[in-house]
Amino acid sequence: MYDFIKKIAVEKPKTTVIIFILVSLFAVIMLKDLTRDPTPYLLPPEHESRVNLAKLRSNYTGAEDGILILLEAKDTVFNSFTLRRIEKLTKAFESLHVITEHDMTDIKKKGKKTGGDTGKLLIDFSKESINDDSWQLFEEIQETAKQEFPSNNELMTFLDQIMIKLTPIKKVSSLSNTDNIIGKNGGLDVNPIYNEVPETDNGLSLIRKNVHENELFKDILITPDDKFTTIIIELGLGDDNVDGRFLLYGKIKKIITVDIPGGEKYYIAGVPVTLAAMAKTMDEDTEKLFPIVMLIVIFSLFITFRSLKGIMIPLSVVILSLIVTLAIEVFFKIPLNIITTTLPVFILSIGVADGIHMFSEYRDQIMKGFNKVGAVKQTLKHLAIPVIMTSFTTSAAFYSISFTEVIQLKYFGIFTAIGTIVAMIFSLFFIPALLLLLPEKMIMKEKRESLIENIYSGFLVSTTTAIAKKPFHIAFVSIVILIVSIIGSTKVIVDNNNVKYFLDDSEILISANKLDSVAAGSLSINFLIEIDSLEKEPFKNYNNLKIVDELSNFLEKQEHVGKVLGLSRLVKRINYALNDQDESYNILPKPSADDPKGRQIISQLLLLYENGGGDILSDYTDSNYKKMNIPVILQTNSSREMYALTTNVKNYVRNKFPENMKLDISGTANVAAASTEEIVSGQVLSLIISVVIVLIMLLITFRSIYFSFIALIPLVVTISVNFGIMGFFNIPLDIGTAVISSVVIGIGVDYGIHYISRYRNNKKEGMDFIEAIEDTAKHSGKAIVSNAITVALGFCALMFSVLTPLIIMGWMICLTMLISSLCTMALIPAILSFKEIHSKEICIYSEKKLSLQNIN
Amino acid sequence: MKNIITVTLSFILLLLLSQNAFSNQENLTAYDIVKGMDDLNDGDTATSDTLMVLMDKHKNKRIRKIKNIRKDYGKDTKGLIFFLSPADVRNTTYMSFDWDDEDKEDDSWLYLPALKKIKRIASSDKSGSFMGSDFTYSDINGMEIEDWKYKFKKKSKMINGFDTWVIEGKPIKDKKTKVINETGYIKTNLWIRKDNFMLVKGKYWVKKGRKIKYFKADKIKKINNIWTSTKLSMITTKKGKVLHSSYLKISNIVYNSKISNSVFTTGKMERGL
Repeated sequence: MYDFIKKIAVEKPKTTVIIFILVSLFAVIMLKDLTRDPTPYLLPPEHESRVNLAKLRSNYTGAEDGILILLEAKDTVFNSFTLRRIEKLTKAFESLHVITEHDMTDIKKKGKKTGGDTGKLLIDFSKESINDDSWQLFEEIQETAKQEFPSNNELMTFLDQIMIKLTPIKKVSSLSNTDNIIGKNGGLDVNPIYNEVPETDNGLSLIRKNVHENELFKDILITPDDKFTTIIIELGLGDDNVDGRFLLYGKIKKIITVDIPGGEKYYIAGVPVTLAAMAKTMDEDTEKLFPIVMLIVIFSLFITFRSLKGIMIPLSVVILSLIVTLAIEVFFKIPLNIITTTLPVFILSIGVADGIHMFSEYRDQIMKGFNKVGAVKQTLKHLAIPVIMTSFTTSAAFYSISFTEVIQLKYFGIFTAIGTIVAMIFSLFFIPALLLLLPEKMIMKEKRESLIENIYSGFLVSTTTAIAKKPFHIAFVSIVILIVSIIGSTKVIVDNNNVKYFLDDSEILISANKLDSVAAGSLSINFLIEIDSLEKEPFKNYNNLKIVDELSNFLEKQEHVGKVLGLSRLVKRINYALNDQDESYNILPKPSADDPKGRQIISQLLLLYENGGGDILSDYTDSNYKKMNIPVILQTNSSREMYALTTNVKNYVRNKFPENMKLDISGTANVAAASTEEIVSGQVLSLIISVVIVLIMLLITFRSIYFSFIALIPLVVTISVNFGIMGFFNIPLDIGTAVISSVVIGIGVDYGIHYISRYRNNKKEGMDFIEAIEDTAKHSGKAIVSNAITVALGFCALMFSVLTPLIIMGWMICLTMLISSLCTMALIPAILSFKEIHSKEICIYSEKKLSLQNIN
Repeated sequence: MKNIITVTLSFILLLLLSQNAFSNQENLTAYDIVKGMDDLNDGDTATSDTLMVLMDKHKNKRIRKIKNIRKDYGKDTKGLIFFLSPADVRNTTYMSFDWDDEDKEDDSWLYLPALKKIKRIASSDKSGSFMGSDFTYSDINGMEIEDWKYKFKKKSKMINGFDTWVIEGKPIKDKKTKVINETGYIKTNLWIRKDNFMLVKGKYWVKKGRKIKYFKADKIKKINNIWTSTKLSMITTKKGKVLHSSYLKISNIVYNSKISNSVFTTGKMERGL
């Protein structure tokens, strides 16, 4: 290995530097295509929960994620100002579009390029401002284009995309446009809740009465205290159109605050909004975290080397490694996500360690009197193997994170692993070549050991000696810590909460919490029931619908369930209204002697509803009445709570459902719930894999089972402490904290390798146990502690994020790095001394006895 | 406003135009042509059977058979719809009185045999779906043509071997809200046959949900000397994709037979056919 590196980096430094710089330049060019993916889904499209979600959206209307706008009136929503505002807002939301100036320029360009009638129409279109009728105009352009350029697929796709941006709203539902079904004077009234806003108190209180009286509206269109109403905007934009969603969010806010202002307070929530905000935050984070971690790295390098070269060489290595890693990500067309946003922090913090080792070894060699070439050769001779080994162990541990279904973690694992290797290659080739090309002041000032440094290494040495002399104390303390940590670990909860990604005072979190606490909630989950039956339209059979209704009742009683909708609820409502709101009819219509299955009455009620203009049947059932959708609105965004709910429902279904009925759970919320399971199983798997891989690499390095296990022990303790802290401080295991264990293993194992290698070398050189331990503490110990501090400081950068999981990940890694180095420094000498004690048992005992006698 | 039950029948346009009209075709304005279509004779009474096929985007079909009876009383219309199948809704009957006077709300009743009850239904929403189909009440009853402004889109377009005028309609400015409330539409294109003023194709832009609906009338022939289409379809699309479609097949059409006034009573609804 050393020869190979020497051949390239030492013998052809110019070519090496040029190649590395060219590669980096090429990588920089690629970076412009870097995209980000704020998907709410932690799981890939092939995962069962995602397949179910696709099924839901293709089989039922109204199943897209919606933006929810909660309006809070001073004392009642039912005043003419508020009702009029709701009407205006509803109309304004229906007319929303996401066409930008940029799109208009594109349309113009496309028009010029296309030519013909289509081209002319496109150019004309781009000159007008977008209004309510633009989509019709554009539809005609599409028609013209289809006739004029029938085989121009690129043009068609372009036009389709513009059309989507022109009509991003599927449906807006509010008090002002929802139909109510009311029984009145023996008749049935199917009309909008209000056509015109009444001015009289009587008119207003009639509306109030009618709205409250319809249970389907409760907690959505009105809360029992009269103060809150929700406007639901269902989007037809697609999950991938992040910019469009963000634009909509901004426009909605502007409509509420500027265009149609009013005295009502507003709260905007819902999955599309959470996502849009997350995308924006990720952008801000990437921009902010990079300079911060860079400053921290520069600071660490300054403290370590106090020279411009000492800062610039390792810094350039990590920055170029980062750029190349990101370019690899671009090459494989993989977007950044919430976790890979932290790549700069990981690669800079971890990669700089190799640079520090290389540069400080080189400096030591120069000081020993070697010339440039000699020093570089010596550095490589000493460090090539350790750098390669530690990089591979770190990389392997990171790679183990990718053994999961959770997309974000998968890519994070893969790219931190790649980044570590890239940084290693840069360190091994680029640094030596660069050192050879840069001028070197041959006579460096004799390195002054400062007072502080003396105290510091003195402290390390004396503590280590003390530890080595009292291994039982250390063992006792360690075991106590281990037990406490394990107790704490049992309290760790697995949870992922998209809304809680945001800080406590963020609009997103406040709005979602408000909807969850006063209204039906902010997230929906869907229970899909399918029946296998020879009967035609089987869910029109009372006995089948009854089962759905009972499940709905069960759901209503569950924690965090804010609202249960569905066909059985609708049929109940029609029956109730048809019987003039007589409470005894607020049930599913019962079968009779003439109609033993109740099919006729149910069918007739549904016909009545459809005929009255009711248009939401397709939200709840397929047209064959073989599949049902029960949408449930949840007052939580916690995946753990959703998981609890879905588990309860699955148990219920197992006990109560007949064999020919089957339940599928779907909706965005279910994807979240399923991801909880995946995070746990992924976490366990990646822990096991990383331990195994690391153990194998340790065995290869040490060729000794004994030393390999010694190197592992500090890691085990660190990870236990890490989980213990999470348990005691209520920090959930989420996509952020899930990576910590593997990070600890990946970086922490290096400490063990360094420590034990040095110790064994010392022994080989003939030092006795205490001498060997002291020397190890002095040299390796110092390197380990500075490395841990450098890495820990680097991860502190994450604390400047605005996303909670990253903040937690930042300080947790920071803390565990320190614990890991501490464990290495304390536990390894302690364990080593056990062996010494064992072999010199008699000797030490007699010494001890002697000294005790002396004291006495 | 004409009658609801004419569901099928009001697309079935009738009226033999005077030779006079034909000879002056070149001078007709777009409005004249739409007026000509609107004025087509559809008989004083009509009875027919209709097969309704409703198809969702996955091509799942629902089939309903209904019988229509309609009688005009000057400009007012009374109608009855009996549901023949599916079995679960057999004998369900719908009766409507449509008054020409716009200030007077139309009356409608529904008889549900399972409840053995007649319910008066109040619904002002004419832009809503007719019996769960893609047709709306306003499609069936015809639109108020005076609320619209018409212009030629094309003076000539061949449809199934017949020459048509293609006419674009947009609501008159100050009637826009009214038109949208009544029909749901913000624009229409109409293909009207030059030889008999029959509407053979239509395209409707729906405000709510920004959908586009396509109408087609086929199998046009004279029945009892009245031009009639016996195959109608309406397809609802959004962004070029079909969301839902409805097909009507009309048979056993009889015009101008004698229908007693006593047919249009709640008693008849309960007794059934």
